[in-house]
Amino acid sequence: MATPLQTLLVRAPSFEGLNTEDSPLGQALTFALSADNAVIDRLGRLGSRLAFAKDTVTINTSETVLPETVRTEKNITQIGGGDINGKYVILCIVQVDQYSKENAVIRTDYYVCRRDNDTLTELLLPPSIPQENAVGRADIVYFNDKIYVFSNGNPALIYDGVGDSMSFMSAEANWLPPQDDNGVIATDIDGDIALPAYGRMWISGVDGDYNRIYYSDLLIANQWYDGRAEPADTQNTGGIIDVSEFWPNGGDRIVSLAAHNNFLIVFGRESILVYANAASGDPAAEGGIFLQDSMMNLGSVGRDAVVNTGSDVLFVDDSGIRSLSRTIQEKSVPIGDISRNVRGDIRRVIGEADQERIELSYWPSESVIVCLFPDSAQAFVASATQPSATGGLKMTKWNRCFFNKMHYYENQGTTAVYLGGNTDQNGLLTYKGYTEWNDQAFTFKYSSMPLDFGEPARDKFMKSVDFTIFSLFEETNATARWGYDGNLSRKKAIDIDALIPAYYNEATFGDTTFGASGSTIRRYRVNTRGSGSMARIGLDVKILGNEVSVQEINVQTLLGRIN
Amino acid sequence: MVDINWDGAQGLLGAAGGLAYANEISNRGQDYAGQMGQLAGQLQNDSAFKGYGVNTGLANSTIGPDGTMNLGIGRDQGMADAGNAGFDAGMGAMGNAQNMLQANSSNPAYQQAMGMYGANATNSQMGNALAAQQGGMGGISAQQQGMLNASNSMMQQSMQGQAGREQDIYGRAMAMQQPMLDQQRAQMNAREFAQGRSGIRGSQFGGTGEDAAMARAQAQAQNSAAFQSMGMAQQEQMQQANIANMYGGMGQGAAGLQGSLGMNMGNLGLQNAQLGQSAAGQLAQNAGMTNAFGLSQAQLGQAAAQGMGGLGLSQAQLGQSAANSMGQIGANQAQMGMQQYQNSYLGMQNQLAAMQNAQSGANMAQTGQLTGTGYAAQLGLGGIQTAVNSDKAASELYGNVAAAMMNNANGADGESSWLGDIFDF
Repeated sequence: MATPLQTLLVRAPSFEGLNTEDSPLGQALTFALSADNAVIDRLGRLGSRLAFAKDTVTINTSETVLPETVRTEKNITQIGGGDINGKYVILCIVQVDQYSKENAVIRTDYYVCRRDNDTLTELLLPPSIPQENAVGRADIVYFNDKIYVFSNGNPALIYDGVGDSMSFMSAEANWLPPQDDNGVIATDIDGDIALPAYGRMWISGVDGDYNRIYYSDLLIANQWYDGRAEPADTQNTGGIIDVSEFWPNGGDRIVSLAAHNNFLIVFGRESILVYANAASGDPAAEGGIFLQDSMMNLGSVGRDAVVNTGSDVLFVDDSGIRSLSRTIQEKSVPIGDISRNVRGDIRRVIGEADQERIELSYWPSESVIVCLFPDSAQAFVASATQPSATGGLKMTKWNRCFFNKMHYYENQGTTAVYLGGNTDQNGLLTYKGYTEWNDQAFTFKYSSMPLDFGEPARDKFMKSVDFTIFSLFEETNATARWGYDGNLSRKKAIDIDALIPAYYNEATFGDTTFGASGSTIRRYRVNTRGSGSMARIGLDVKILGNEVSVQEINVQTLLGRIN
Repeated sequence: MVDINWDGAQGLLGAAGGLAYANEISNRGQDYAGQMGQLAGQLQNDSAFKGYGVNTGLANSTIGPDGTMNLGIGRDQGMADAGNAGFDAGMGAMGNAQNMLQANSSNPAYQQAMGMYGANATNSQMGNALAAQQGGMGGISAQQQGMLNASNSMMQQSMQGQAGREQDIYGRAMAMQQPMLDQQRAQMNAREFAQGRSGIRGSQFGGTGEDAAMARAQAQAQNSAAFQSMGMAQQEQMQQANIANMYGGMGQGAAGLQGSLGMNMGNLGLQNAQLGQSAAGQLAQNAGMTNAFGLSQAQLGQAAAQGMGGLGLSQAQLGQSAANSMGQIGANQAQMGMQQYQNSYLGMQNQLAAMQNAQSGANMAQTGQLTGTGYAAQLGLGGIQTAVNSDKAASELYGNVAAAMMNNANGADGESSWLGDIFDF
């Protein structure tokens, strides 16, 4: 006997993002099995991300081109910046690789470049940089109207915003290396893990020692520990913290530093140390900094895999993205699992990635937290809005992430995200608009959890699926997909209309620029067929100059007999 | 007519008158000399000592014009005889006393005591005692040397500079404190570790503020130890000086003891020497002392000698006492004889005293006599002198007149005087 159509209406499907961790069976349709190049948009819907658009078009570097060079690639390996005397300066490290005709790298050079609108201008470096290769992994930090470039084995470089050259920190007038009555402890601040916080510069990796943290004098990043009986500056409060005694797992190395709420958080590879009262006047004085907590079997996979969201410190562990959430009393730091909904997926990606290149970045204006895996050109993206029902943040996934580094820019009410491109000649990118840096489309992809319509024991015969889609700017092509028992084996192309915005004095009513459609949200019906015990639907949308969000999905099906 | 030079005649007359007057004066001088001789003879006679006499109840004494004295009294023969008799009696008593002493020197008890002393002088115990005493002296000498050496050592130590010693004491103090300091440091490290403050070093403190506080405390302790070391070094120096003094005192004590022993031995030797002398008279006079020495020596070895010596001493003392008494009696008797004998001259002495009293009267008489003759002599001489002066004045006046006449007899130039030609003036 025929049964009436069953209608399953899902509003804002998968607005809680991916969930590949829990069993897909019986899950709510608020989760998705796939959400590529998607974000949770401002209305809580699953929508397409913005584009990785071109920011700079020219990279001026002075490399010597070898005769046998047939190709040159310029990649941005590091980005940093800050406000120097009212002008926001962005510096980046440009790696220039020269290739032979056999496609082998025959020469690599590194340059520190300054972003001048759409041009990257090389800054003149001091001669005799000992470890030029280490410059590629330099840490670029802003502190007190200067930008510092710290790289392993190299003297720290300083850019004061004036001119086109940088200088060694050791060439500064008030330079004071770490020293005591036994002599100079380190001739240069040559560590590569830097943290400007609480009025000081905190550095690890000096002289290759990743169990020590050197912290500078207050607001004087050139003046370090002076333990002599007669110090050069009697007001100097620089110092050293040796954490080697406190690793809870017997031994570790500092891979990253973070500051949050008067805490200095020291990330080891497999453990975490939390120092409290780091913002005291003199950390070494009585009542100064002290170790408040330590955790083992948790740590950061890399220096840049740590980010402060203002209310929390997130970091990438082997198990995924974790948080050091604070309690009310601020006495301890319970651990949150940010990427709980994609734990298995992200753990696999982390395990396969070049972990030192993993970066975590927080973009407040976009309310996203991006965990970038440059070597696989993908990123897991967490929404910084409300967490999902599982407790983890709403996760989506991006691909075609052809950049190494991310830098969030906020200055005088203007925000931007700069990305260090790692594909030939793409220079700096920026996260904005809907057109990729190479003018190629990317695909917003969504797929649902398996649907049982509350009758897991009966076959489903989907008759149609209505996609209510919000689209903007440009029409595009989409592919509606469906299938049964976990597959999306069936598909149908649909054309997505878009609302063409009318700009004042640029077009008149009836012109093509307005388009035929008058609505920004439209329902697209796709007739479906086939049957199975569990149904699944999906949608692929080409994004090139347009924006889409899935507003609603309405599935009509017949329920068959009980199997 | 004969031309008469009147001037020349006048001169001749003057000269004749002068000569005549000079003879007159010479004659008168001889008269005066005769008068003075007479006066001198008279005065000699009047002033000559006539002698005098003194008459008392005892005797009549006289002083002759030639100064001889006749006392008129002699000694009292009876009293002189009585004195001689007393003296003789005293001499006899003293002879008795001597005899008694001689009898005491042959006191058998004394002789027995001396014999026992002689035996004691060769007493082996005394030899042992002397040997032991010499050994003691040797030991004391060694002790003295040791003490003096120790005193010198301590003195040298006390005179050394204190800086090195202070450092040594400080080093020892700090070495003693080191375990505690290490413990404190370890506790500090543990406390810092527990507080999460381990491994922190700041420019203001070198380490943490807590480290600096402990370092300050330890530095203060070190300073205190340094100052205490200085004080202890000074005390030690004083103590060494005191010990040097003590050892020096002990050495000196030993030296004193050694000297005392030496003196004792000297005394023993002296005693032995004295005891060994056989002078009977000296032994008799010092019988008691000798017996006492003998008694002392006898006490070292033989109690019996002490008893005998005591007996001998007692007897000797008794004998000596009796002899002394007898001698004293004799002396008294002799003294009385002597006094009686002296009394026999008492009359003469009294007469002599009366004569001395009379001598002042004789002197007064003699003085009156001499005064009278003096007055007579002066008056006689005064008369003669007056006559001489008159003659002298008359002769000078006459001479002056004659001289004036002679001058007028000279030529105008003083050389062609006729008188001059006659009398070679």
